[in-house]
Amino acid sequence: MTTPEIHLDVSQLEPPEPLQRILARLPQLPPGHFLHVRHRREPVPLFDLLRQHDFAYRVLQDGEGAFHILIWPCADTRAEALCQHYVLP
Amino acid sequence: MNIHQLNFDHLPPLQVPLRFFLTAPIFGMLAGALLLAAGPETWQSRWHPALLGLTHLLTLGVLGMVMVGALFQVLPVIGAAPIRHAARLARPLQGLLALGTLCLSLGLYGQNATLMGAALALLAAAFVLFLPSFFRALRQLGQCQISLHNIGLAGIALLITVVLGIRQLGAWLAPQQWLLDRALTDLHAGWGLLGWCLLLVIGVSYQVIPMFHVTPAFPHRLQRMLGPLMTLLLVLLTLLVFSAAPGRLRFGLMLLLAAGGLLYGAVVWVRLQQRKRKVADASVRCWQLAALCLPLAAGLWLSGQIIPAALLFLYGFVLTVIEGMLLKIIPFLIHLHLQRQCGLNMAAFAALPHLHEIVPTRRAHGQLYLHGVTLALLVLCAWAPALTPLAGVAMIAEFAWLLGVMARGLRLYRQRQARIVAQLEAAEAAG
Repeated sequence: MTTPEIHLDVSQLEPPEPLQRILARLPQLPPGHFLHVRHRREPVPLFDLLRQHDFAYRVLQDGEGAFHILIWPCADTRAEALCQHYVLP
Repeated sequence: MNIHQLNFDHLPPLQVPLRFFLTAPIFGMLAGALLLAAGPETWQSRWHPALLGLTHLLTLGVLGMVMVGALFQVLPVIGAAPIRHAARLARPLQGLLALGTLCLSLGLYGQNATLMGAALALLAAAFVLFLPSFFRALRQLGQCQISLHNIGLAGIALLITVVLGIRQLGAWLAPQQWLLDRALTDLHAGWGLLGWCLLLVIGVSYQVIPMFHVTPAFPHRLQRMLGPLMTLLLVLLTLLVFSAAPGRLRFGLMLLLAAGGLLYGAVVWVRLQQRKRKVADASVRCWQLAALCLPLAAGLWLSGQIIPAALLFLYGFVLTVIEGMLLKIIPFLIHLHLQRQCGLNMAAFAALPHLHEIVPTRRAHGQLYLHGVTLALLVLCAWAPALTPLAGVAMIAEFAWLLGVMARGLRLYRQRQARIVAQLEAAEAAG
């Protein structure tokens, strides 16, 4: 069984690559899956775009200060449930 | 603690910062032309009319324009509220600042009372328009932001600089009412360069260096303490000017200010060494050159060589940082504004330019080399004034190149915007 979590680490990329890579992956999300982005900053430029295109997100921060952004389509209740209960390892 | 929080939700239209960015190199070329016209006698004295005119073409016309334009864009980005009614405010502000700077510089150069009077009115109006909106935007913080505190201190320094400048202009125009005190001119220059310029660069760099060059964050203690300490030193230096305190006390404060600048420059250098991408682009080289100019400027200042010290600080540090940031920020902004228009349309993504298409590497390095040549010639002019016409030509070439780089970027923006719109319309028709 494949994991519903799709990882994308953009923490070492210079702008605007993080935003570009995230937006490029979103249309490819299979149903029941979510994108888990690791970033060194909170990519607030992204959030406006996510809201405009009916994606929801949740931001977590780990002990090293890195940001983890979980992104899923608003209509995908299975992915939403996974993200709302997600705990960072 | 999140010290990298950026907020792009309230970006002003691209035209808002761009109109200021595109005006700045025109003033740079005028500064070069003034040098050509005035010749070697420019450097005879720091009170020479040509040097006063040149200084204000650079400080207000170039640096001021870019800084005001950048603040429209940067304030909402780093957590403050956006400057309200940015699009409506930008056009009259640009006009007042441009016309006021022109009148002031030509008025100082030609010792013309009419032009100086016009400058007083125009620049006072420009800052009355800008400063309240600026401070209001800073007040509306959701949470404490160290960068914003430093930028706020820079704003207070700008206010002091403007008040002193207006007072000195008033004294020149009405010497019977006010004494033209050269000590106040020194304070005006000090608050302008070490207050406004240095504190603004410091505050903004805490965000843009880690962001654009993927470096570790600046030390937290440095971010919290350096700006307020430098401001306190400036306040103490100001108080000393009006007291009969011994000269060594004043020198001590100058030494501490210089030390603060050197510490900042050293940390910038170290952070850039720790950047993820080891290949040094023109922007990294600009920061490195700026960091090298700081100790040289400080040394000359402490040894009493005011003109080369001011040139190294203004042209070597502040302007180098400004140009380096423009080479990064302009392609980034153009890309970001186009990206936002694409939404999630994959076909429209294909129309997005790469950053090196917007400002090609060759052109960015050309900018750096021209700037380096102009800087070297300007500083040498302090000891070899015969180089002045060459410095003037180099300055014109440098700013013409910068204008070309920006105009080319804007042209590409419009071309790609048209392509993106076409893709979105095609997608809508098909869907």
